[in-house]
Amino acid sequence: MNYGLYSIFLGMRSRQNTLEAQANNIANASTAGFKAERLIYSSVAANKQGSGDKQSLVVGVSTSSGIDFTEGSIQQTGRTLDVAIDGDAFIQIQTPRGVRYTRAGNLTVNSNGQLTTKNNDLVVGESGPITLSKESQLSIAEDGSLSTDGAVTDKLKLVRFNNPASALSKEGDSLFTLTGTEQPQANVTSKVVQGSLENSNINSVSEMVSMINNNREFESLEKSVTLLMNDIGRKISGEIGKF
Amino acid sequence: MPNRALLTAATGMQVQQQNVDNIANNLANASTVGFKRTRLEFQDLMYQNMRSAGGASNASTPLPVGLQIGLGARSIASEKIFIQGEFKQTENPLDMVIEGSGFFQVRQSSGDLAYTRAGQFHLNNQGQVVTATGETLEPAISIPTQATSLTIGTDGTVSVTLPGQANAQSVGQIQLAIFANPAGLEAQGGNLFKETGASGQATVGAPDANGIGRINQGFVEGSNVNVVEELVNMISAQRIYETNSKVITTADRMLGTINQAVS
Repeated sequence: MNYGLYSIFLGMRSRQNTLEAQANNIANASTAGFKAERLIYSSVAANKQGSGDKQSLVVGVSTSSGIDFTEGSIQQTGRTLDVAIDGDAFIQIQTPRGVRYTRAGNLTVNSNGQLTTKNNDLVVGESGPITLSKESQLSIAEDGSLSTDGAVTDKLKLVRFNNPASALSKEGDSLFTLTGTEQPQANVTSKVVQGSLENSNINSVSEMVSMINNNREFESLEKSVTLLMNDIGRKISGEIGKF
Repeated sequence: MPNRALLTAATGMQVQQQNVDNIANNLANASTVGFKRTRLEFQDLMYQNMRSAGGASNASTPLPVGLQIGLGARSIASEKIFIQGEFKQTENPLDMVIEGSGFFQVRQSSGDLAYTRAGQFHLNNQGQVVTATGETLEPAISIPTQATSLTIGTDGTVSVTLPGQANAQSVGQIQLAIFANPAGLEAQGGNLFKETGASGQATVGAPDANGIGRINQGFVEGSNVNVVEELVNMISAQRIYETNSKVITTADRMLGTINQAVS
């Protein structure tokens, strides 16, 4: 097997995946609570060559995706049902498919008066879904307590993870789902900011720079294909020429 | 050849196009009485799981992270922002603002009720209180033609003074409607909103009681569009649109590279 060509193929495929992830990040530059996707490269080793000296040959690269949970900037909106989380916590959501987590705090009320996301998934409080009586008088405290006319009625359920990047994966619709072994823990330090939203944590300048970089790496790999093919081609024709 | 990056960038451009369309409508209504600005909200589309996190890399070690590639963004909601606009004094007796939540109810020519925050009312040829486009205020209130003054109280009581009478005389009370989810109302144009399944049914009651706002006579509520904020949003939308178009250029260049390599 020609490891050279295979390595180049893996390298080009990784750059292709990276561009796709960058495209998704940039497409979501205005999505509230969005977290950027970063592709992580790791080397792929081939079987050991020879038996005595342990020689392993690295033949290429594989990619996995990591979510960058850096906080996005918090923008003031003045809307009663917008909440931003200043800290590492997530809002717990109940969907028909099970429990999900989100950082997108653009909440709304359904026709039953229940607090929901824009997809009509229920926001979870201390004891199940939260029902609001009057939207305009609602105030949400830093710890997530909901109060109408001074009386506390419920509290947003906020959870955190020690290592969210391995505990959660994305489901789309601004939701995260549990995939790792780590279980959600109670919120400690995060504060809820009412009347604000967390912007997407995309930095378009750094996305552009890494996109240009990625494109150049792709071109270099393409050059190596040409070099490698010429090299092999010359050798073969040299050997044939001897006959 | 299907290329995810090209399609993803296209969704990004489409979202920003809709964003600018919406900003244009907000700016166009910066002087419309009772207008409530709309905010477009976005979500990420589904993810393609190429390798699942938590899957086993061998019998004892689960993969800490998988490989997920997202497929772009979409507009999910146009949220009406019901923040109060500025109150402007007009001294016109039939101009009213609602201080707090609530909507005026008006009866359309079709017989359906519609709701509005634009409290600029007029009288029609029968002395009925109507909007500028002729929808009658509900419950209907008629002002006698000989009335010399017209007062509307904070609780919506409409009273008139008739010539030769010392005491004002009540001719009706304005009732306001509130909703569980006002953002679920459907904008109909003409400053009117319509009840939907999402808004919930209207709860009708007298102003200045049970969470319903109070009425102030002689004022109008301006549009709640903040021109500076809209302009900033427009600049940012345009730049993000450009960045998405750069993704298309890059994806195209990478495809071009491949085509050169195999030719």
